[in-house]
Amino acid sequence: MKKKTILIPTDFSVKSLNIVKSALSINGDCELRILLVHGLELPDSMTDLLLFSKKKLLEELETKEFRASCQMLISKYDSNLIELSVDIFSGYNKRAFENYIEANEVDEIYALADHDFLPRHKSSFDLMPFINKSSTNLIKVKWMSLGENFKQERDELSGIFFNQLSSI
Amino acid sequence: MKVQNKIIYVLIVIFVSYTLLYSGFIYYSISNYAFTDFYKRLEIRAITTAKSQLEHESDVNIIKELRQEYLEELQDEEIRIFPLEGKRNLPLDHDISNYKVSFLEEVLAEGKANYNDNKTYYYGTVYTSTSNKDYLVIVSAENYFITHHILYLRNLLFTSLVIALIIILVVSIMFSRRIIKPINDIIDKVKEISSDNLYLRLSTPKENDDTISKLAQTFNDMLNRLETSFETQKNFISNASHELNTPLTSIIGEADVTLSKIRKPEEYIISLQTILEDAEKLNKKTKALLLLAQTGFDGKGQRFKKLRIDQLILDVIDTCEKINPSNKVCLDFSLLPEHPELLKVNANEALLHLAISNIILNGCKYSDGKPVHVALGVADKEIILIIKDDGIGIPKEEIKYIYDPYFRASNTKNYEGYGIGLPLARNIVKIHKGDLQVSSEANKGTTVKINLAVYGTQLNK
Repeated sequence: MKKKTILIPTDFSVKSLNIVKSALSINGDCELRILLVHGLELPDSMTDLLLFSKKKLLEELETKEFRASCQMLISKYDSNLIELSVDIFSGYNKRAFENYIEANEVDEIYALADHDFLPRHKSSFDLMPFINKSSTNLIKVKWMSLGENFKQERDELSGIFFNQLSSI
Repeated sequence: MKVQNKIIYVLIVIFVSYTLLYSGFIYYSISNYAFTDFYKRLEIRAITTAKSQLEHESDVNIIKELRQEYLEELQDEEIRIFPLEGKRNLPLDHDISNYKVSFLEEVLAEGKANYNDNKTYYYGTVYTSTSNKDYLVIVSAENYFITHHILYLRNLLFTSLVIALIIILVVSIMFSRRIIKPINDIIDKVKEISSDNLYLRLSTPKENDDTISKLAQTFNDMLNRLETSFETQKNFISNASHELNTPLTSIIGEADVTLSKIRKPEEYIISLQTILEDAEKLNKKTKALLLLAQTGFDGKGQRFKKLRIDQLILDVIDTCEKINPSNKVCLDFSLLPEHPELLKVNANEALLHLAISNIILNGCKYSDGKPVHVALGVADKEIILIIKDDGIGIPKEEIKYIYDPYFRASNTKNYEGYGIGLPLARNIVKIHKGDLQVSSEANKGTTVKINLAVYGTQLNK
């Protein structure tokens, strides 16, 4: 099986995990390493930097529903999902992002076509400008809600269900 | 005997015997010490006196000085010196008859001895002077410490014993009350619960895991089971009678009207057709009720077995469509896990079937023919079932009452129902050690989330 690394921008909403779902269903024949990346500026004060812990920060950012959804995805795509990891990108320019992509050997980037970014943290920033300018293969997916009345929930567990991939 | 009294008695016996032992020991060792100490003092006085009276001038002065300066006079101190003829013979002095004979004999035999009669203490020793002559020295004095201080100590110990007894009594009463109180609380609370208010539960403090809260928890579990079985039956009976009543009324009405006067054959045909239609409806409904009954309790206790949750959901949807063919249910199995073991639950099929079908039927009922969405996923040993509808929802301020039996939200006036389905479903999920959550917004729909543990694991809450 081919191996592939996919980068997906996330704002820690359950909704953004739908991209993971589509990436996994499109690449059914590949072994995937999926990197969920969130843009976050590192604190610039001395004490904050000293006490900085990525693990703690991620724990703070991930909601219970987000974690449960990730686990559901893992149990669904057990055989072709090698790794699903969450990371923080804290570079300031396009060059830094390119370096990050190169370092993590990213093959493809998946993003939502109707991307609406909602900062989870006060120093969160949107990765889309970097992704759009990046030279890596970008695949945009569009999701459609199944119910007439359903607005897709951002943070509820049902956000990962009741919708379908409408276009790539 | 009341448990509280039992605790008090046991505590008092333990504490009092401990205090008695303790003060007895103190009394014994202090008085013992006082005796030895006093004889030691008498000994010093005997030797110094004998030395000062029987020895040469030069040494005697120092001893006399020392004695006057450092050894204070004892109460009723009396020192007698008798010269001894031979080692064994008692001196022939009429004063000597004041002392006990056995004591004098012991002094001569052992070299020293002591005894006491009540107040006065005697110490005797044989003193050999430098000119090699033997003297019998006898010192007697009143032991002030024994007569006064020991008495004081004894009184002190007795008063402290009485005080300790009072304290012990108070403490043990308070202690036993504290121990008994939660049990009494449980008893009072359980007495309040009857078949009318089976939804009441005992309060169980979350943080501690002691026997009392386990007892309360056990009671609650028992009440859950009781309530469920009560309501399954109530649910069934009320559903059945109502559902059967409507077509019957219409059949009776139609027949009544038709028979009120002689009619033309066409009219009879029309009314018979209406009656037939209603009878068919009735037939359909009895069949549906039969189905419901089959999913209810079989009265032989709850049998739990390993079953696949996806199969159960398909069965439930099948039943829902049978009960009312206009119900639309959309399934989302897109996140079904690859590993089938993750879909197994330890459950009572009939009960879980009833719970899930109740929720789905509720969704269908309150969403006016719009489809109800059902999704299933498994996250880390936890089966997540989401049932979502597009219906009327539940007003925000009423959402806390939805688990009370017979409660119906204010916006449900146009829908038939009895307010039993959801509490029943929740109880069933609780019996399966699961978790049921409802989130809803008025006019936007309701989402019910059920978490169940994968077979062989426990749900961590």
